[in-house]
Amino acid sequence: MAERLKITVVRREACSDLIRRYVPHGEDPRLHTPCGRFSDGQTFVVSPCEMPQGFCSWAWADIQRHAVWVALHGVQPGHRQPGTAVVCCTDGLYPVFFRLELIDDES
Amino acid sequence: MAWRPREGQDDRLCAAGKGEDMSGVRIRITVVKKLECPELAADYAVGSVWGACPHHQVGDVYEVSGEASYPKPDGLCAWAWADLHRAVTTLRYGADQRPKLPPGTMIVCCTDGRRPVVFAVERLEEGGSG
Repeated sequence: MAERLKITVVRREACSDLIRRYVPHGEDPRLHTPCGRFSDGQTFVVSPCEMPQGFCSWAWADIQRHAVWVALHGVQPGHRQPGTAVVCCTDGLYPVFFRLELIDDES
Repeated sequence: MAWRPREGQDDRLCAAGKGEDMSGVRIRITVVKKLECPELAADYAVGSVWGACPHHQVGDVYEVSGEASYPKPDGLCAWAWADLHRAVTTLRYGADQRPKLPPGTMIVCCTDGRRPVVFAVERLEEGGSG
């Protein structure tokens, strides 16, 4: 069975206090919704080290090295389950959180 | 050529583009928020990584300037520095995210999804505290 990297969107956040503090017109309620590039629970399954089609290129730039560590069988300290990692993109106002897992391809 | 100085763009940065000294550009990094993800930590974190990051406190301030390679400021988490470095360089080179954010400001978090720390990265005005 081939190994695959599974990426799951596990959380999306809008940091309202920071949006009000830093973003021009930060009181506008339309600015207080999480990132629209992803949806909660969305999954991507790809060959290890491959960028998923349709993935946000900014987010991929942020998490790519973490994805490589998982894809190449690294074990990140502090994670309960070897072969997983929980990471987020670096958008401090609208961060999106991803679970990375190395899985067996069942297809 | 599409590049031209934006209205109000820092003169020092335009000068730097011509190969002039840009060592006077100062970037301030401030810890503005610590996120906690208990629902994720319960599944994925062990030991001390429950709860918010212990390395930084809201209000911690760091500044970088001078040397061309911008070494990591003392006390700043090395992992966070790796995540922040692009934003620091973006501002240093005079780019910014206007109009989404005020000129010279970026809000960036580290990539530790269990307990990310959010930083304000700001280019300081010449001679001022920002």
